[in-house]
Amino acid sequence: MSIIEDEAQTHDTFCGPSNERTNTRTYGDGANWGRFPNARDRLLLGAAKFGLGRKDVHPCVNWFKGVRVEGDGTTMWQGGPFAPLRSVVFRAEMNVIVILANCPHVLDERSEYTVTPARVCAWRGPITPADDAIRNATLESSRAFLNVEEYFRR
Amino acid sequence: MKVSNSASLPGNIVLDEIIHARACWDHVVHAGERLRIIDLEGNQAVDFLLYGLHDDTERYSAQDTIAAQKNIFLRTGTMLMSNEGNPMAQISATSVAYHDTIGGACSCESNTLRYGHHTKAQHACVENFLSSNARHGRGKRDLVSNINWFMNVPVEPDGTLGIVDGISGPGLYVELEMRMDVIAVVSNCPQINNPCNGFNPTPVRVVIAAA
Repeated sequence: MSIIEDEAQTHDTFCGPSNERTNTRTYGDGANWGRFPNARDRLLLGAAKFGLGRKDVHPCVNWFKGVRVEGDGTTMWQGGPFAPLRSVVFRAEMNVIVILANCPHVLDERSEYTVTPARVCAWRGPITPADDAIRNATLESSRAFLNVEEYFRR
Repeated sequence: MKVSNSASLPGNIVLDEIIHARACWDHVVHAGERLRIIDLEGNQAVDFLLYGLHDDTERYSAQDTIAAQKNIFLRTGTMLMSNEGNPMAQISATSVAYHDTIGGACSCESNTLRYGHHTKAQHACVENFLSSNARHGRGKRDLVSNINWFMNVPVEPDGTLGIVDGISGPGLYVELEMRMDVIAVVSNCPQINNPCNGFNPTPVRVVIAAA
């Protein structure tokens, strides 16, 4: 997928989903049937409905909550508060399954389990053309798109 | 290949082997046992994964490890966490300042992106991981974000990752003490297109000591 619009700029690929252990530590209970469901179990349930299993819940991206890495490697949580209605727009470059778990970030520093609604909207669009700016941004990205085309030719 | 003198580990040495340059390796290590990896010639990246011996859907998780210690670097004392949030192993000692777990493993496919399609047939860590894992019924979906022992991947202020000259040297090591029974899988990185192996893959030594 390509990120074609990003009003937020605070995202995280380092820290992954919360799990039952981390939510139990932070909120006193992390069970999926409890008051503080964890992201890993939610992702697992989403995956299971497509015939996927535990080993398919691999590293995830955390959108809207960010992490900055200091020179010594320390992760600094960027948790806001942020203005409402920030959005990110993705363009799928191949056929994908998207699974979302609307849960607090694993490093959320608030003592209260804090979640608010997120809106998701998807629409059809054209296949990315050969002269696309993201496709041609770097040699690496242009070669990546060549690999996607080869994948669909198989 | 066996080597004559054991590393200076307390306890009975149950394994002492050389992993050849570019080779893969895997072995069971039980809870309480220690695994030492020695960078024999210096600047050799050692790609590494852990799977639970009794349930291999539980495996090393780079993200859980980073979130647990709120730091991206692996140092002495770091607890390597599983995808279920359980401790798998602790770094009991290392003579290198820190190790990497964000750079990932090279693959034939990623080589085509980074270095061009003429590199597609070169050796790569994902091929090594698959070679080892396939003997145990694991496949492509089992390859998760790994550890790169002896590799130096700093994050710049703008978020850029560097793959820069190593901070390891000949004879430096990392030692793990297992917290659960695991299968350790190693790819002695064969990458020759960036400085992670000093453009020259070399052998490493692995030693397992009883609890």
